[in-house]
Amino acid sequence: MKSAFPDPRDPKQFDDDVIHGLMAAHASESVGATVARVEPRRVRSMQPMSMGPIAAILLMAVTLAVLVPMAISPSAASASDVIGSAEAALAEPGSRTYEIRITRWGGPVASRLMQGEITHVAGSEPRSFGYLELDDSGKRLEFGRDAQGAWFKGSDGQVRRRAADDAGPREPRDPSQQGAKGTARQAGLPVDIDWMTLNSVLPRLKKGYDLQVVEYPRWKTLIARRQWMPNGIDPKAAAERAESMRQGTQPDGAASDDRALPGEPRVGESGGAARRPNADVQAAMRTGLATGGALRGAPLRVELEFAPDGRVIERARIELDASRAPRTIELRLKTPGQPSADDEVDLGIWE
Amino acid sequence: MESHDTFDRRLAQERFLLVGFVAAACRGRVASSDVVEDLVQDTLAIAWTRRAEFDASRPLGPWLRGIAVKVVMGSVRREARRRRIAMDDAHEIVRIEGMTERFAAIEDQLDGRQLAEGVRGCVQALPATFREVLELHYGGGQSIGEIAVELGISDDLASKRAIRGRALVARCLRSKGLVPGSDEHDASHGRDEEQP
Repeated sequence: MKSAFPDPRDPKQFDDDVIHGLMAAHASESVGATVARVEPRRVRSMQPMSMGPIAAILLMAVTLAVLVPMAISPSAASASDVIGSAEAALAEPGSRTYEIRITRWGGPVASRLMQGEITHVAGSEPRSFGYLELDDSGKRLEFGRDAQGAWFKGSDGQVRRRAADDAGPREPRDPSQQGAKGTARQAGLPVDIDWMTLNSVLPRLKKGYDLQVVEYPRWKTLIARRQWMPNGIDPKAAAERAESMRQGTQPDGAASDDRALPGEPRVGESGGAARRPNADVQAAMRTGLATGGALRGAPLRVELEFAPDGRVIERARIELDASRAPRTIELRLKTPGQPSADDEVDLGIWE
Repeated sequence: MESHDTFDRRLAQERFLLVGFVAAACRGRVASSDVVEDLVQDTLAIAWTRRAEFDASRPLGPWLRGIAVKVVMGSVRREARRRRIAMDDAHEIVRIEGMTERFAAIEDQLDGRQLAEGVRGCVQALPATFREVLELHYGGGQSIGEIAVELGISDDLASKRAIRGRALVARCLRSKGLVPGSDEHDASHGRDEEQP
């Protein structure tokens, strides 16, 4: 049988494939390095810039010895309380609007931003809606979420819903289920809707993340770091993932196509209608094993800064490290009439 | 059996070569680089759950690649069925085995960390025109068509820069003795640069 794939015996192509693999690995490493080097603006501004090394060390020593113990008290124990109160604040009747700024990591494109707004409306009919400006010409893409799920308006002006497009209406997703891959991602929408809506982000931080609350005298910050392989892997999650693979299911509980019964449509050929959920795997995900989330798609790091009341999120920084499009989403609470703050955008560091 | 910490540390050390191997083995055969990332994670998950079967006195790389071969072959078969295209299993096995041997030869010379540093140095040493295209393609995840629009050049020129850039990286790595082989294969050749 003649293979439709490229001839494996071509040595030039073979060598190029090896270099391609090494370049992909290099890009994967660079993403990690970039993440490690992107520090919050507030932390960077504390670093001495123009003093000699001895004076800088003395200054830092005084700061650490005298001021820091008085001012900062990291507390992991209260992280779930912080998330709970933030969710309660979001659910209070009323609306809040956040500016959205999306930065891509890496190279010349690091200077390219998408920006927009999102408004959360809480109350009897909770919903979110907003837009992103895709380029300098003012082209906008509108999106949102309501009781029927996420939607976005394509360039043709038609509203598309992720659930209704190809599989008919279905129940809203369990908010404790992690990972957005294959759910909120829409063709034409540059970032999953889930990661731009705070009431979707908050529940996901409860599983698969190391949480830390840092309390300063006048503000409070929650830092969530995704538990990631090989360090910090959850053994239960790994075992469950392996089990789901053994059963021929995807980590999100949908059937793998090579186990589909004869005559059944294969996954990917006719959209969601072909997916056969595995009840055991889905139950495991609901109870927190969430194998599909911690290993796929979930934000690498989330940082939430709270208002002085300790409940309302004033700023959120959500770092996504998908290999094709690593991005940082920044959300800043916008008060009526407040001008945008272009000079405060953190573009990160490219090396 | 090794402690979790030791095994995790060894997995982390092998990650660079594993990503490289899976990306090379999957090239042109799976839909996107996201799939490559998933296959690496699947391999690491299997390795972690079966760490009791691993002989800690032996090198980890070949064992990991053995798992990765099965994971990759399964994915390639599924992709071929999904795309309804013919796939010659024998050719694919020959190719992936060849890739396994190539990466084993690389690993014999140096570890993943040294290779990662070498690749980083060679990429940084590239002329800006080539480095720009490779960074957008691999780091930015953009297709050749998108890069051409971004840089205001033709698709053909963007593709040639990507091919030539990789050839220069290959030559640099060989000159440093980081990968085996000669420069005779550096000549560019046409192929679809849209694939991951």
